[in-house]
Amino acid sequence: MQRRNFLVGLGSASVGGSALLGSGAFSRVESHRNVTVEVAEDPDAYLGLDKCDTPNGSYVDIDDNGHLEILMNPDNPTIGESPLGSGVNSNSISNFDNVFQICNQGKEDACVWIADDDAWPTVPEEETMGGERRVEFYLNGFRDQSVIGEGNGISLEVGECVCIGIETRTFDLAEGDELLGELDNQIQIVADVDSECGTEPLDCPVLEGEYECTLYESSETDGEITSWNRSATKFRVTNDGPNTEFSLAVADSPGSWRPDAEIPADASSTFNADASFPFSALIAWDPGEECRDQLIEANPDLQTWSEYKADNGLDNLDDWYETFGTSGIPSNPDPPEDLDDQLIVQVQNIPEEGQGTSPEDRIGPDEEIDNSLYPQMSQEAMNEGWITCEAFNE
Amino acid sequence: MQRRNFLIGVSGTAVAGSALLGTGAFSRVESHRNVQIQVADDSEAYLGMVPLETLNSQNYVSTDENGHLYIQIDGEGNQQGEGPSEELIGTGVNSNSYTYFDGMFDLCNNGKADANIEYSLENANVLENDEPDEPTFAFYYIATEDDADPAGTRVLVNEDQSVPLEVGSCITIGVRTCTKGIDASDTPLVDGPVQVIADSPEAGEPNEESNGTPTSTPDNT
Repeated sequence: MQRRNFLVGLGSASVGGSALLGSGAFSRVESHRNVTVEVAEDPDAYLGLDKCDTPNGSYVDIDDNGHLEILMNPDNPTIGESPLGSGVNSNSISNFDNVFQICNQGKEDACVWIADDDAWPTVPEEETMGGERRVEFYLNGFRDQSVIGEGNGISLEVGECVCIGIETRTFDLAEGDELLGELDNQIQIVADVDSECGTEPLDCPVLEGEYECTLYESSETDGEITSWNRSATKFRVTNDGPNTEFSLAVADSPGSWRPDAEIPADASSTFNADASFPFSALIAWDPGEECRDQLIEANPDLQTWSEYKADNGLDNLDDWYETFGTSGIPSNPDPPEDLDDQLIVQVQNIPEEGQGTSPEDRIGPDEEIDNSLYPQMSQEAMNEGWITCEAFNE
Repeated sequence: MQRRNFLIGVSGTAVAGSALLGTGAFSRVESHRNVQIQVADDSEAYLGMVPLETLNSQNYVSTDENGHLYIQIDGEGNQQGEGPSEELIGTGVNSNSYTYFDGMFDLCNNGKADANIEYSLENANVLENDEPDEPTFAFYYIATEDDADPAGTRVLVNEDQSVPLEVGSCITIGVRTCTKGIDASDTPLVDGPVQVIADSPEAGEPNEESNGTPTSTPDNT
């Protein structure tokens, strides 16, 4: 093979022999190749779908394309052989146990379920079974065991089949109405070998916190209120999940530590901290190991304490107070030197936080407000976002 | 077909037969399939309730615009719009009497297997009479040669009693009222929904012969 000489700057090569061409790299090649993927009829496909071998299996039809379909309407092909019905009764609950079956004819165990859909129709609230699905799919004849949604998935070993039942709720419907019309009369059957089957997501507490307002106490002279003094900060904590305990650390000033605060399920409550000029605040809670893993995976904004420390170059909780505050570690109650590896969320909307202003140059909520101004603050402080609770509540 | 053993919460059915097994692997399959479930007029639904061409049915029973069968025994008559409308008609059942209305409607099993039928007046307002053992309002059917009672007898079916109904067959239902101790008044004797329950336990069981029905609990006023 002849050696090629490259001339820098000219960008050409002398090529001596056409045999060289075509042995190297390419930018684009289009080749057409045959890919054979056969479409099997549903009963024989990898996800095998077929009627159950029950009387109710005759509501199922395999259409001309080999697709399973469920026909509880005048098109049910078994009509004609016997005087059978042409649909479900109105204003009724009807159960059809064991109508169609799903088989795993692949090579790995799989989880199967019927995909949920935001448009899944429900019974109007004021009716019997109000708010429930118009049509429920359930395991076998277990009418309470829904198979709708990945959380209700059924684990199917290779070669295993399961029959599915159907419940219809036709309250407030009339002759001719179609129960799954909103879904274009289609359901989606899913089989996934990677799904963790039958494990519903845990119900875990997810906390958020924000600065709400600053509390003031009046000072009086001769029984007359003359001015108002900054006394504490009110934080709002919101819990999206079951009730839980949490700790609230505030730096600064002075720093405060509130352990074992409780917040009910799906609630929003306020908590006061002595720190009346907060620079930064953290909420820490321990949702349990499983919840912690699940929440972190689902919510990239959440961190564990160890991740937070690593991100901020901190050694422990004492270090946090000293880094973010000006008055060191609070006392009464004393915070632990360090936290367990709990979940941490930073309290939001604290004015002046994160602007890079050093603590001594920050404005802060007015330390004292003359009674003639209260519940307003100095314009300067209000511009930063500080507000008295009296003004906030108005 | 091998009998299937169902395990609650775990899953399914053991299928014998290697033909089913494994031509290929999959990671995820999503299949859209048609499910057409339609509401039928009561006369054609899986639990069929059919008004008849008898005088009683024409006067007191019909299907409303939503396809619901109803019974209306009051001064109006002519519910099916078949008869002469100007005729003088009664405005209700006699007080202190038993009244029978034969041939009100047919109850049909249009499902897939034999069923047992019951009814309940739980959600209806029913006036109390003086007869402890005789309900104010009850359904009955006329015995045929296949029944235990002599053919032609009116067989009263009390609330929560169960009547078998073969798949594909119908029975003709009548209504009996008992007004012992109830005087004529503006308060209806019976007002509200009747719940009819058809239970067909074999419909979801593995086929042995052939048959089937859903279980169904329609309310009909």
